[in-house]
Amino acid sequence: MTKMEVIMTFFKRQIVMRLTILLFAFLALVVLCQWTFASGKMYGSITGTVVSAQTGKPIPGANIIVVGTLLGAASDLGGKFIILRVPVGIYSVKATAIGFESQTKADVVVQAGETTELHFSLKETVIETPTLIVTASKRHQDILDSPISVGVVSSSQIREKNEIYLDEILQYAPGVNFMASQVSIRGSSGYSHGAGTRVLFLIDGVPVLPGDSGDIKWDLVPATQIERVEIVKGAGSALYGSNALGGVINIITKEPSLRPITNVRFSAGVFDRPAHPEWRWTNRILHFSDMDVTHSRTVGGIDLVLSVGRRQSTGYRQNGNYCRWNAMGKATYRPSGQSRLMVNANWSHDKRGNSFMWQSQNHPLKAPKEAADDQIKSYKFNFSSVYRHAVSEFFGLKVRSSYFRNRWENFFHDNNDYSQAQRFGVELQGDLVLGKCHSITFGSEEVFNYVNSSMFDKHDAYGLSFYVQDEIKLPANLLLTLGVRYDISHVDVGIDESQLSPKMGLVWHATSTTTLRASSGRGFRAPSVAERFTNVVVSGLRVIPNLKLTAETAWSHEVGIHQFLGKFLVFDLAIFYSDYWDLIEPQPDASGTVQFINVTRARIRGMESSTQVSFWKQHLALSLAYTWLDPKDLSLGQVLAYRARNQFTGSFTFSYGVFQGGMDYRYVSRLERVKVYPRDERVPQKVLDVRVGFKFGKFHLAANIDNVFNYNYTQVERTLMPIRHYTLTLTADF
Amino acid sequence: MKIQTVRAVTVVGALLILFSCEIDQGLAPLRNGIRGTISFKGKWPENTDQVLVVASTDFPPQGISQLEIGEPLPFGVDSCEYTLYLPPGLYRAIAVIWKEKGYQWNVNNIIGVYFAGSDSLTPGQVNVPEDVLVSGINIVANFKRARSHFESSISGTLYFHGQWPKEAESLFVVASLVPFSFTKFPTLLDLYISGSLPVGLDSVNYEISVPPDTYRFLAVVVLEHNEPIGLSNIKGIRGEPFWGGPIVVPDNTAKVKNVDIDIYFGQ
Repeated sequence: MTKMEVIMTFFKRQIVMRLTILLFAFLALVVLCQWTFASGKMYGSITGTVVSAQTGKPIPGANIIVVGTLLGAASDLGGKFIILRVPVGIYSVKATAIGFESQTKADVVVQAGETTELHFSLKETVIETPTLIVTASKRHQDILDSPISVGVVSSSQIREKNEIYLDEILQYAPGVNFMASQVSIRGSSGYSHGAGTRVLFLIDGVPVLPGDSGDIKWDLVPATQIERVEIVKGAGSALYGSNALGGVINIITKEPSLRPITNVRFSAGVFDRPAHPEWRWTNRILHFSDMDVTHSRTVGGIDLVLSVGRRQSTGYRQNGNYCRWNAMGKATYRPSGQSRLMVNANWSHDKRGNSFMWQSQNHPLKAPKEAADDQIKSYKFNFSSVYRHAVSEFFGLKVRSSYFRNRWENFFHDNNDYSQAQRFGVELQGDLVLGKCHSITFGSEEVFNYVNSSMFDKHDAYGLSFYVQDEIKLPANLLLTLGVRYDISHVDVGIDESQLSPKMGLVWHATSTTTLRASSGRGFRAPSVAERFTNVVVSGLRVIPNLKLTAETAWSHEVGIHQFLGKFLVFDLAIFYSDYWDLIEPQPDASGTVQFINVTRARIRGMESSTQVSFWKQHLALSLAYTWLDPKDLSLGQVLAYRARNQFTGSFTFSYGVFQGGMDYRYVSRLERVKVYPRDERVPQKVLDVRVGFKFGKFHLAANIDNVFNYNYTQVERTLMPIRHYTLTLTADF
Repeated sequence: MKIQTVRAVTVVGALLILFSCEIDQGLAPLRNGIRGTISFKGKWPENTDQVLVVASTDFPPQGISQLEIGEPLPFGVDSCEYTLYLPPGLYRAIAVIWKEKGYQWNVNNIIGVYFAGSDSLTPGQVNVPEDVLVSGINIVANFKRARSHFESSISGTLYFHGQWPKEAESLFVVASLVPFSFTKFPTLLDLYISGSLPVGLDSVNYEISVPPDTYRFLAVVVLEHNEPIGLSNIKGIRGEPFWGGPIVVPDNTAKVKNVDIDIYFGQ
């Protein structure tokens, strides 16, 4: 299909018209609200500084919020901030920053036309716990106010791991597990070879899933561009709709720097020899390298960050080579004190070798002979924008729009399939504060998918949804959250579905150090185009379509406790229980033909605990996490396939002056059940990574050894995971 | 003091967990398996994608995923040596399977089976001990069995009368290219075998993928766990010489339906 035909199809579906109507409705709402809220009000402003109590140095990037309103600001490089258009009144103002205890100043008086000055002096915390999150409620929120478990991977943790892609970092996050590159939160997902995901993937709050395969493309955003990652665990469909059945992963990309800065990162490494000499498949030295250049500055009031990177690897196994280019741009613009526009674009081009499985357990690093030259080329482009406008101190609006294009081509010995998918989305969100104890978040989201593929055929799909969430602070430090979302979807072959996803949550701040939480919510996931329409024979396996496939649904429940024990130890425990209906699973028949079917009624219950402890004046830090799962396929009376029962991660970090070192250990118990090759030998995962770093002036040198013990394991059948490799990384800021 | 104790316990606990984990090397090469010679009969088809040796702990295997699969055999040769590394255990069937270019694996494209003695209905069993390569597992592969892609099938309903045998574990249907005889059984290579069907029901639908040909009879086989196929396991039959005529599948898209069979247990 030509580009013109694609555009015509797009117009035929009247999406532009719908989006235009929604945009006009939004603008009319903004004007109306502006007029309503602004009439007759008197304003002042709040300004001040945020500094470290220990050093007296300014803290850049601290969040300052006027409690009970939507007003707030972030501190600049000098720790200064200003909040404009604050209605006359008496407020509490709270300052928070990662690595510092939050501080609240009460009875702050704002007078008409006057500027009120505040000075925050924040004490450093021993344990680095992010206080503000944005994913659990689609707005800024204290992490302890979330009734659902939220994990955060901070920028320092990302930097220390020194990995290029996020999936390699998230393997150490509590409750997160991977089957090849397919993520599972608390056992929600099994393995479907990249068709669909039960975890919704967001970049800066905007969904980024390709319209065809519907899986997560980890190579779209290199880890170097990530500020932090928020992981919402459990069904999140009440706010996010389809795909958020098992949870949500939200990547928060780095903000542009407030002063011109160029960052250059070069990384290179080699793979060690295999643990067993007979596994060696080449005499070449197997190596990899990455280079990223990032520049950030402000041009004409627009804060910009631009980045370009190249990665290449011979791979540690035959035909595991790749060459990738990434480019990314992010711009933020503040037309007024009440508005902010953020535009984000990501592009990646990937050419890589591909083999679905090893040659044999005696040659696990060799590709099957016929697949030794199989290649895949892919192009991905993502564009998103988020416009925020504070209509008043009590009412804010957000518009999120997105476009994601994904194209790939197979150059296999037996398959030359291709696919091109485009996804358009727009979301309008309102945040209403009804006094200090009550706030409402509501919105509407519209999504259109267009797929043109030799493997999936030509299809388009449309989705529309409405949601509302109400948060009420009750007496006795209780916080009640109620929410519901209604989704309708249409697929061109005449499939129409609708889903109602309610949720309820309760948080109790029992003491200043103890927080209890409970939540219950419904999730669903509509089948991806790949699951519904795949029709292919590749590497001797045949996959056939299933037009009768319907959405899978779940109810997730959890209770948890978050406990500070002094300043040096934080403990979190969650007990969860999820019921699944019509779980979509790939089902091979006796001839090996695979079809995705609504096969399973399942239940997953379990427990997740995490502990962070710091000692010796913060020079040593230890974090431990353990997840226990009891995943049961109730239809078959067996354990669910591709779910590990036990997962333990431990991370130890030592820092002193310019020197930093540490180690990370991951244990994932042996999979009790797999589907494709159940007779293959399976072992638990036991991986230890070691890292050291040294900072001198504008440079930072790091050395990593991953898989120190050269332990051999698979996550899915017949694919050996990376053997021991050594990496040196040099980073410089100019 | 209390905090210090908690910290100390946490650190000591973490170290204990770390060092209590046995650090080994995980997966390792297999040292055990089978080896032998494959002799090919007939001309290698042009549309051959792969030919390889497979082994199954169950007979008949429940599907492709149940098979241990070896490396592709060299193309165009009259005979070749092979080695198939396997986990230790008893293998009830070892066979050579043919794959056509552009199509998936098909268990009905078995072109050779290992027999301990002469060709029969029961394949030869091989016990593979730890760290031993069992040699002498020679197989004759006949390309006459290599049939191009077909979508043809025979289907119908099996009706069961009487009490199911308590030990019945697997049920399947076989289609034979040679006539039924009480004196001379067809060999495995004369048969096409359906996928496993559920046991214990009053009736069950079946479909068996077969290439276009004339099938002299269909038989319903009920087995106990890993029991060899024999006359006593044939519980129902349809076709020549006494149970209707042969079943003809005219072309490679033909779906021959309503070939129903009555099974009388206890008779």
